[in-house]
Amino acid sequence: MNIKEYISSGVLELYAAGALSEKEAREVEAMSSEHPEVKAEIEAIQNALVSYSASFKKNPRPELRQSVLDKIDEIEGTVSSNVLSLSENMPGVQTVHQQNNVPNYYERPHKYRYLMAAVWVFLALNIIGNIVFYTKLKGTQDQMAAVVNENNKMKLEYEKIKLDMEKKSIDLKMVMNRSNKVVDLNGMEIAPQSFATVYWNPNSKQVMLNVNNLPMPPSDKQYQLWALKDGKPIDAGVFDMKPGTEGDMHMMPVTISEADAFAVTLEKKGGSPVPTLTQLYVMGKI
Amino acid sequence: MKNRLQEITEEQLIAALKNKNREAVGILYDKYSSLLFGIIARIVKSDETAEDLLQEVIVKIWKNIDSYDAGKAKLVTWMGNIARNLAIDKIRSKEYKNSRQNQDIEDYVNIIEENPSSGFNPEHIGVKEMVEKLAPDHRVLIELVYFQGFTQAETSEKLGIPLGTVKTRIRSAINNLRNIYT
Repeated sequence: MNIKEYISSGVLELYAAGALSEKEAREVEAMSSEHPEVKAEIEAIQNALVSYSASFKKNPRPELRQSVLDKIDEIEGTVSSNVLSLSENMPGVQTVHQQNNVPNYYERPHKYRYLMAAVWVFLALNIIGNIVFYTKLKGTQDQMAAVVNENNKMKLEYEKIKLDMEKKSIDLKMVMNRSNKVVDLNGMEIAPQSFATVYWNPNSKQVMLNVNNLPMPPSDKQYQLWALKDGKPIDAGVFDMKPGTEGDMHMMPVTISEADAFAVTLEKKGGSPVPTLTQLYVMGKI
Repeated sequence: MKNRLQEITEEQLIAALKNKNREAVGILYDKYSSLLFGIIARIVKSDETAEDLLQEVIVKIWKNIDSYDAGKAKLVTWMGNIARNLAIDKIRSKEYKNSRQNQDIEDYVNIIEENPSSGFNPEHIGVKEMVEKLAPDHRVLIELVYFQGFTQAETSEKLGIPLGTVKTRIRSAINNLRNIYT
């Protein structure tokens, strides 16, 4: 292909219009640097396209000028060391080229920079806030757990007290019953300091025992209450004594229809059919 | 002062830009913003987007002035290409495509036939007449290739003409332009 044909093929127009691939464009540029006619043709085409483009000239809003200049200042930094009188920068008077290596961050459009800054500040505040709230929440949770624990304890305590109270109130009702016979059982020789009280209701036949003072029994023994009618002992049940329960009211599990005295003896665990008289602790007549 | 600065030659302007003289940006802006803005606005069809892009273009010129080679093309051609490429990249970007419906050939013709300038500008008197001297099929071809960044193959497909014909047609379209503008 000769140069004339090459020029008139249309490839230079495509090149000038930017419609060629990178590779094709390099080929055209190689031809252009080799053949002045090609170079001149390309220039003529480019001029025509620029002239055509100029038909569509349009002015942007006047404010844009300042914003563009500000943008350049922003990129270069505000130190206006470069604002020299133009005459100093005329061709031939080459001054030291100031190459500013401003980090990319500053090259972002204005609004994004502020936006990014705002986003970072927001994130930072968020993280701090989260840490603060998390710490507070953690503290609150710990306190909550402690309070719940305390509450459970108190609930148990309360249940216990309530049961206790109910028991006591029943005891009291029974003790206060007007038909009750109150029998003081006094200490015998074996334990003169001992003392107990029996509340016996002949109508309901129920027997309650209040241990005012009895020595702790050995672990293989139990105290046993006896009702006596005309000298004949009637089993009125065994009872336990635990440390710290002195003064407790014992509701005896038997009914006694007739009695003229009560006594407590120390017996083997589970009780005996007849009282061991050598182990007679307290006794009292109605 | 201002007058003197505006009278500087293209060579002086290039040298000043290469020396990173910030006053030169103002001169560049005053001389070429309407041309560059016109090109960009024609491509993106939105003044708001065009203004953002014009700023980008000026920044790019400022940053890349060292790679400008006066031996290869005139400054105005080089700058025009930067503007055109940025604007074409913009309309070809996904986000932009999503925000706008693709326009058809008929729309290009309409754009070409409407008054190219909004707002009064004495420079534009007679422009419409000049543009209209260009045959409609030539206008469409230049619009597609030059302003919309269509490749030879894309143009061939879009207009339904053979690949080789695109080359000869663009040749005659630009010849036509050269006759009108010289």
